[in-house]
Formats: sequence, structure tokens, C-alpha cells
Amino acid sequence: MLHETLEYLGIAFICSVLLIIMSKIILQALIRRPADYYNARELMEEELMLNAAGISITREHETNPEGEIIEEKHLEAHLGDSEAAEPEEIMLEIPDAVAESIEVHQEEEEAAEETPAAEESPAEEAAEEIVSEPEPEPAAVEPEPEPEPAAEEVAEEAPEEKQEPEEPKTPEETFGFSIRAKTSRTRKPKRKEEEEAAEELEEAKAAMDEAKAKAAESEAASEWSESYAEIRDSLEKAFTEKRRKPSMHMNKKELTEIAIGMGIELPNKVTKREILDLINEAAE
Amino acid sequence: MAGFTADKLMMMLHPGIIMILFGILVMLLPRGLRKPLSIVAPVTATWAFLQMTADSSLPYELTPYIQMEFIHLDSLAWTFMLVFCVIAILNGIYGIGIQHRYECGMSMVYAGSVMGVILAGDCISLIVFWEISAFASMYVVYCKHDRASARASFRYILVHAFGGNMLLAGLIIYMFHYDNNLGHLSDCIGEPCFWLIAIGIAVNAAIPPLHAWLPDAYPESTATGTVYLSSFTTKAAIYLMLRMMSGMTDLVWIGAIVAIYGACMAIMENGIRRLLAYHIVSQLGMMIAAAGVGGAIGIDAATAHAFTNILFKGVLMMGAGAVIYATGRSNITELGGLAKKMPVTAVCFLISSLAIAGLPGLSGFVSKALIMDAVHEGGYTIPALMLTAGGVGTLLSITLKINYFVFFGPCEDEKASEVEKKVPFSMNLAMILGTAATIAIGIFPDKFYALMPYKTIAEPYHMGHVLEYVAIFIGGSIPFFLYLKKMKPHDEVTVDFDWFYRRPFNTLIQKISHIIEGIFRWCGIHSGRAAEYLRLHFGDPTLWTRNSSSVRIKNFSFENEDRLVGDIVTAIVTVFAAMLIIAAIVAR
Repeated sequence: MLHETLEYLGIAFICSVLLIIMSKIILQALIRRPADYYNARELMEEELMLNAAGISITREHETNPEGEIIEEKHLEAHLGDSEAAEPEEIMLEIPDAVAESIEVHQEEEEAAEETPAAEESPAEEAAEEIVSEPEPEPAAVEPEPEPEPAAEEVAEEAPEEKQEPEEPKTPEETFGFSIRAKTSRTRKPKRKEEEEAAEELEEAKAAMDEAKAKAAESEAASEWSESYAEIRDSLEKAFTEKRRKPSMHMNKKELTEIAIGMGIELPNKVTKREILDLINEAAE
Repeated sequence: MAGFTADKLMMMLHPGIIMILFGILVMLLPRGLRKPLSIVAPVTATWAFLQMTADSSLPYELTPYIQMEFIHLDSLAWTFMLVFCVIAILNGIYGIGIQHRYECGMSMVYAGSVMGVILAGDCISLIVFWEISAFASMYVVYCKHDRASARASFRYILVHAFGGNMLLAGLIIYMFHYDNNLGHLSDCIGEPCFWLIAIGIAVNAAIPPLHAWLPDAYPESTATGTVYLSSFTTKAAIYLMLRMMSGMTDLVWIGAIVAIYGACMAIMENGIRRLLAYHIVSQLGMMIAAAGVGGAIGIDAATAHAFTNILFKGVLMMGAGAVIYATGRSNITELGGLAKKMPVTAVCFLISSLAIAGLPGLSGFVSKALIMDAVHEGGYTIPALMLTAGGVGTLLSITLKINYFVFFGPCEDEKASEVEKKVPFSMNLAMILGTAATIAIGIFPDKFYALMPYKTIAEPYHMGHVLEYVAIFIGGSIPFFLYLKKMKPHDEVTVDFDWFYRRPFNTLIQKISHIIEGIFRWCGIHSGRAAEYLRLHFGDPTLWTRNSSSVRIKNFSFENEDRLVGDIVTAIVTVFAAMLIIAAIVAR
């Protein structure tokens, strides 16, 4: 009995020592890793995203001296030091159809504001409708067998047809892109910035026409679409950049940069409104 | 007649289905009903189980040729059902104050589905409840609702989906060649169905290298979730192994290796629940070894150790959960000197840890003595030594390491002994009841052995056994105190077999997904360009017929206006499309 007990005592002691050596010395050297071994990369990426990029969402609003909110609250994402994420370079890609509808809506609003549409005569309206339709071709296959539907329309149609002979279609008519709608915005420039933007647009349109001519020569639609896409992007970018005039829709950082760019010295504690006023004064 | 019908109905009550239905009710009913139902459900299931006899049956005819049998209660299933009902009640008490409604409901579904596995009388009902348990346990892993638990539950379900599909494929082949009833696999050793079923069982039994899901997932659940998880899945796999693979001698060696492997990994661990999870692996090794011995004593030994392990491991997990609940910390390096602040938890944990190490007078000694008898009886000397070494590892890692560094040892850092919350009475009560059961089994081994399938008669308290375990305690403890500095845990992680699917396999999947994403992006860009090209050239019929000099069709419309061919084509296509739509609607 004593022999067996001593035997088990020895076995247990040896087993215990062996287990400690195996787990605490051998295996420890082989398979022990830092606590964040599996998720270190993920944590690092998170840290980069949250801290290095400095993303912070702030809620800003402007108040009048009485403390009432005079401007609607809006969220702004500050992208910190990241150069690639400058707010000016961020462009929202709006589908052409949506852009067209927005532009058309704006046109209608502008027309409603500026021109008394009711003063136009019905004949002029009919003439405009005819102009907007695809031009009829001079060499019709069959003569008109039917009586004229409306004398006024035909009377207006004939001179229009003479004034606009067969011309190559504009790209917007041919391909239905949104440039037609965008040009309508620059039709009545009111301010200097918009005039400049309109000039830019005209230049870009010229470039686009060149590209279209090249595309027509090569008759490679894929190349054409690529060149057109480039031009459209540059056009939209130029337009977007030009349109970014100082306003309350910019965040404080942007306004500060513009003010500093204009050589304005800003006091330490200054609101967006005050910066904007200073910029406007300097501009005037 | 009415009494006969009532008796028949009673025998058809399925405890597992009752638990599942209660679990669904808990999730659907208002929150206020969760607490009473979390006790009522396991009590009702236990009552239904106690009404069952060997004649109980719940058949369902799936097809004229395949009949499912949801209740098949033999002595092995009865023993496992008994301990599952007991632990379900204890878990219900433990979690009554801290569980969320959905967690509580899914825990009940999980427990009920495992009961369904135990009672399954055929392959189809087995696989149905097996899969339900996999998904329910996945939610139990996830119910902490943090990133670690989400990731762990995802890996958990991937591994269990693999294991479940292996088992499904194996059972289908088995049904095709043999029988729908669950039988022993000795007739089909070496056949594909044997290996597929063996892999399926090995995944759930956490046999290395298929074990890594266990220490990966269990520590990430909530306090109650971990207790549920540690009680059911692996023990159901042991039940299935006993039913289908007992007596296969290779299992003895596999079990002995698993016992040492789990103990070694547990010694290295710093997380208190991760350490206990590795100990589940080690204890499963002992059960597997006993199952490998086979025969009446082997099956009884494995069943007895599963029974006692569910109880004392449940209490250990409850204690660890209570520590984490009270302190908010789970690493041993962040804990210390908690015996004064949490005396009930410390005492219950100490008794259960002594039981798992096999101290005479407690349940672990009773079941381990039967295992060692079985292994010696089978003539496996070296596996017996290895199992002894595994027992020493248990002593080192749980009994000495956790108790010393967490509860009773000197506390160097005051922060380590700080307690933020008081442990609820329900948690303490569950731990006390579990500890009482552990002591009771240790005191009355004969009555405990009488609950086993073959009712093996053994005498654990003879002098040789007692001295053997006392010697193991003394001999195993001396090196611990000699190498006390070395035994201090470190705030590091141990890489296990899960490294293969968390690193290289993960990288491989990411590379493949990048390639697929690149292909789809290329297709997307070029299909967009192609669509734009088609739109430009063919999108508007008016455009591609405009230059034709002989296409003007006049007087075609009601307004007597000129129309181009393109307009006509557009109109025809539109009308045709409308007709198609109308025809489709009418045809339906």
C-alpha cells in the first residue's frame, strides 16, 4: 500500500513538473502571442479611420443676437488632415435624368419669377412648341393629303423651317445627356462667378464639340463615350468649383480658408456669419 | 378508458419539445413573464420526463417508408435526460435575474433541442434536433451582442455547419445501407458513413484538432450563456458516441491524448472562462477514453463522468460568470483576493474545483474512480497514466491556479479585488444547489451508480483509490508552489488550431473574394458601357430611323400628324409589352 502510494506520489510529481515545463516553457515559446494577435490589424484600421482621418460629426446652426436659430441645422463631416478627402474635391454623382429634372424644375422656377409668361401670345407658344420638336425633313415622301389642321401653326412652321436648315444635332439632342440642362443654368448669369462659370462651360462645350467631331470621324462609340465622360466630369468639376462661392452653406473651416486666402485677418473667436461678412466686405 | 388515454398522452409528452415551446413563448410574451417561465419551463420538462417510461413513444410518419420516432427512452438516454433536466433547472435559477428575454428563450430552445437529440429514436429526428441545437447555441454565443461574440458565433456556426453536414451525409448513407434506427457503427467501420458520422460527432465532442470552436466561442457568451453551452453540446456528442461508437479501442488513446492536451492548454490560459473551456476538452478526453473501453463499466464510467462533469463544471462556469458579473473583468491577471468580497462564489468554486480534480468525498472522485477502474480493467496502462497526468493538469490549472490567483492568494493590486456589483441571490442559490449535488454524489456513490445505464457496482472508497488521489493531490501541488512565479498567468493569447481558419484560411477567402469582386467590378463597368452604347445607338427608335428618307408615315395617328417609324416602333413595342403583361396576368 505504501509502495503504491509513493509510486503515485512520484508519478503525480513528475507529471506535474512535465506539464509545467511543457506548457509554461515549450508551448509558451511556440504558441503564445500578444493579446490582440487576431484583431490587431482590425483595431489598427479602426484607429486609422477614426483618429488619423479625424472624422467628427458636428451639428452647427446660426443664431441671431436674441439667440434664436436663424439657419437650419445641418451635419458636417470634417475629414481632418486627409488631403484626399478635402471637401472641395468631393463631388456627388447625380444621375443625368435626376440632374435634368432638377435643372428643368429650376428653369421653370426662374421663368416663373422673371418672365410674365401669360403675356406671350398663343401663336408664339405654338411656334416654340414646333421649334422644340424634331425638324421635319424637306423632302417628304408623300404630299400632304389632309387639310391643314391649323392655319396659325403652319404659318409659324414655315419660317421656322427656313430659319433652321439641316444642321448637325447638338450632342444633347443626339445623345440626351444632361449638359443641355446644365447650360440652361448659365443662360442668365447674374454674378461674376456665374459668368466665369458660364465661360468655363462654353470652353468645355467647345472641347466637347471637338471630341464629338473626333468621335464622329472614328465612329467608335466606346471611345466617344469615354472622351465625353471625361469632358463631362471636367465640366461638372469646373462648374461645381466655380459655384462654390462663400455662403453659409460652407463650414467654418472652408470659410476660414477662403478668408485667409483673401488676406483677411480673423479674430480668435469668430462665427461663420462674421467670417462671411468680412469676406463680402473684402470682395466689395 | 379516459385514464388510459391520459396515461398514453402523458407518455407522449416530449420534454425537449416542451422546452422549445416554452422558449418560443418567452420570446413572444411580454418581458414580465420571462422570470417565472424560466423556472416553469425546465420544471415542466422535468415533470414530463419523470412521467416517461420505456414504452413512451411519439411516432411521426414522414413517408409510408420512413417513420420518425421522437421518443426512444432507454437507460442511457434516461441518465442523460436526468442530468440535463437538473442542469436546466439550475441554469434557469442562475439566469433568472440577469438574462435577456431572447437569450432566455433561445437558451430554452437550445436545451430542449439537445433533449430532443437524447430522446431521438431515429436518424432523421436526431439530425433535426442536432441542427436546431446548433443554431440555437449560435445565438446563445452571440447573445452578448458585442463584436467578439458576433465573430465567435460566426466561427462557431461555420464549424458546426461543417460538423452537422458531415453527420447528415453520414446518416443518410447509413439509412440507405442499413436502417433508420440509431444503431452501433461497428458494422460499418471503415465505410464512408462511419467516417462522416465520426467527424460529425468529433466536432461536437471537441476532439482535437476539431475542438478549437469550444475555447473560442464559450468565453464570449454571457455568464448564463456559457453555463448553458458548457452543459449541453459536448455532452450530447458524448451520448451519441456512447450509443454509436462505444468499445472502439482507438478512442481510448484519443481520449488520453485529449485529456493531456486540454490540461496543457488550460495551464497556459489567462482568461478564466477560456481556461475552464479547455478543461471541458480535457474532461471530455476522459469520457472518450472510457467510451473507448466500452462494455458496461466503460459506458457507465463515461456516463457517470458526464453526469458529474455537467454539475461541477456548471458550478465552475457559474462561479466564473459571477466573478465577471461582479467585477467586469475576466482575465486572471486582473483579478485577485476575491474570497473576502465574494465568499459564496469562492467556496462553491473551491468545492467544485476540488471535485473536478478528484478529491475523495466529492463527485469527481466517484466518477473518475470508475473511469480508472474501466481503463485498468481494459488493460490500458499507458492511457491510464496519461489520464492521471490529465488529472494532475486539472489540479494545477483549476484547483490551484484559479483558486490561488483569483480567490484565496495574496492580492498585490487593490484594483484586482474591487467588486462593482453584488452577485444576485439567484446566482448564489444556483451555485449552492449545484455544489450540494456535487457533495451528495460524493457522499452516496452507490445511489449515484444506481442511476447509471448498467448500474455497475463499484467501491470507490477503498484505501488504494483514496491514497492514490491523495498522493496525486500532494505530488501535483508541490511543483505548483515551487514554480509559483512561473505559474503566474500572462496577458497573452494562446494560438490553437483555430489559427488555421482564422489566419491562412481567412486570408485565402479574402483573396478569393477580392478576385471575385474584381471580376464582378470589371463586368459591371463593361456591362455599363455596353448598356450605354446600346442606349445611344438603339435606345430610341426615333434616332436610328431619323436619317431614312422613306420612312415617314403619315396619317397614321388619330391626330393626323406625321409620325416617324421610330415612333411607330416605340408604340408597337409598348403595346406588345402591355399585351404580354396582360396575357401573363390572365394566364396566372
